[in-house]
Amino acid sequence: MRDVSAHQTHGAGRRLSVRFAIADLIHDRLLTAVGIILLAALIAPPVVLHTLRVGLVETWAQDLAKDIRNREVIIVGENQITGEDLVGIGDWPETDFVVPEPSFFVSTQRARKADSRGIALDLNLRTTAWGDPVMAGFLDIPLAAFETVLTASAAQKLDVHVGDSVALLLARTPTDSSPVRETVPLLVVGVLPDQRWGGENGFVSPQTLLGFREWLTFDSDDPAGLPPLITATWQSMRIYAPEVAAATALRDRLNAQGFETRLMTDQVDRILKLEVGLRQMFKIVLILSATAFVITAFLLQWLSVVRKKRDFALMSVIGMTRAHLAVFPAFQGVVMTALACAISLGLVRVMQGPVETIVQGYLSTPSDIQSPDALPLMFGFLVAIAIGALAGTAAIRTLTPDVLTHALRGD
Amino acid sequence: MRPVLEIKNLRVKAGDDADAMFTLDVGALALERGACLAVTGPSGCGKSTLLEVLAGLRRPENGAVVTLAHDPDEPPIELQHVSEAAQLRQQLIGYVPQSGGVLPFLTAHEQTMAPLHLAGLSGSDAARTRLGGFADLLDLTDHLEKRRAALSGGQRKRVALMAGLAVRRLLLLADEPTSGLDADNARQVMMALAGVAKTEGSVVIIATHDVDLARRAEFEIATITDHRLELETDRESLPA
Repeated sequence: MRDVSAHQTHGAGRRLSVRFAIADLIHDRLLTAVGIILLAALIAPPVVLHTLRVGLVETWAQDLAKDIRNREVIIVGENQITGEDLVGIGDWPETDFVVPEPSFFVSTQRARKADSRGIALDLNLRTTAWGDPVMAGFLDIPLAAFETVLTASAAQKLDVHVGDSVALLLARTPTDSSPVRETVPLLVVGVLPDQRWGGENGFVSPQTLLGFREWLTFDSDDPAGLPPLITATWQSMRIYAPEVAAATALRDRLNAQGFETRLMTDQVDRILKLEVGLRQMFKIVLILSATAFVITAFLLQWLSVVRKKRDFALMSVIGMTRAHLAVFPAFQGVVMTALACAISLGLVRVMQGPVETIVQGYLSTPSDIQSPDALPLMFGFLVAIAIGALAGTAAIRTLTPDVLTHALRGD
Repeated sequence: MRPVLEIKNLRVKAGDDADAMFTLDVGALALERGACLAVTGPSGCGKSTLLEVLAGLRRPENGAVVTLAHDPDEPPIELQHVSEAAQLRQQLIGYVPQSGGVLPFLTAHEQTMAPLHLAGLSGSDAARTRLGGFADLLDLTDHLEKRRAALSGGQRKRVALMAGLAVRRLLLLADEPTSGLDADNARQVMMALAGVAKTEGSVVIIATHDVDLARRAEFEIATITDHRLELETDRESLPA
């Protein structure tokens, strides 16, 4: 009788067990499919939720966070802000940029392309200065007097381009006379894209706008005059925090100084809260799914071993050891869990198209949609697969010699 | 010559529940190479239990000694002390269960080849040729690609026997190998069993109700009476 080493037979036994396990999975394909779908149904919710959270909320949050406008704290109403106040506010660590603005009644003026009879437009005039984050990348030198940067929408409606001039139509009405009109040309030196600033706006230097105010309020007879800034008092300001997350601190400090403010970051706050909520929900779903998965994986393997105990008894009869037998359900557990993970991944892939469409619809600019980090996902899948294998191995422990002999007789 | 199988003080708890439990007393028995023994007795007397003990599937009561002399130069294996008897069933011991000894997800060919894989003989042409001979003898050649569901009861029985015969055994145990078979097939099965005893020196023990058939195949008869195994011939050792 030929002697074969224990090592050889052990290897042969394991290989045979794997072959049997595959044959059984195929033979019992309906039950295999049910088991895989059941496991996938438990793995998929946290994977899908995680993908949604990352794809939808984090992309939105990042989009909102990189939108400069969301760093702005809007000053509501009119105030008396001196040059000294502005220097103090500008020195706050919560302040990244501040530029003074005059009363709102000077901020909207009629404008038309210079030397043309084109469409006249109500242009909303805002101030800008060197270091304005809104201008970053579009205006590399300080804006001189009577120069303007238009928003794309305003430039399109006025039909002007960089290098053209816009004629600003100023009008004031003395108490005992008919309205007096003056035209002031502004040289277009830049056009801001819509995603940087929407609406029909023109940015000018504070001194330019101050000159308009002086003329409109009869403090000056020259609308093109440039009054000194140092003695000026302003009614408002455009102010930005260094980052979106710091905007609330800037708002709080301005409120403490007596300003009435409004935060552009409210929607960011909402998104961040939504993200926190989804993260908590993800944790709960993950815990519930993981618990249900572990219980289901163990139950599936236990039921499978109980159902096939006669088959295991026959395998034992031909000489397969308990270690060989353990390979059978462990391998099946691995295959079924791996396929369930693959289904979950497939679901995520299918979801990516609709999620991208939804997210892009809400983004200020088309951006790359955030995808979940593959590493924790793969780690989770490996843990799930390991649990599947462990469940199979544990299930085989229920097969005591008594159980096997009873099963062998078909009792 | 040292007997291949030696049994002393073998007592086995038989029966499935406490009410039906009894102790089967085998006493002393020694079987030499090529011995053929048919264990008979009424249903429930413990025939299958005895075969399960000898196959290492069930443990005997304390004090029993069951030795298997596999190599004249090495001490015999004491079956009652083997922790993983499945390893013995890979080569030394063949066991054919009473019914349904075929896995549902394998073809008859795969089922009968499995013991060769475990014994490390799947690549041996001699072993495959030998297996093919049993397929012919048991009239299974045309049914080897069928799975259990496509096999008749008798074919399943013969496939299970063929799997038991796949490897040359020191001890071959078959539980009611002819039950449910027609006369011709039953005779072929007994020929196959007696053949491995005669030509390969295996000790063959079967449990059967068909005493006449066993006698015709030149099996010694041992009967379980009142929970005690007694040889028909008044001997304690059976030569080939």
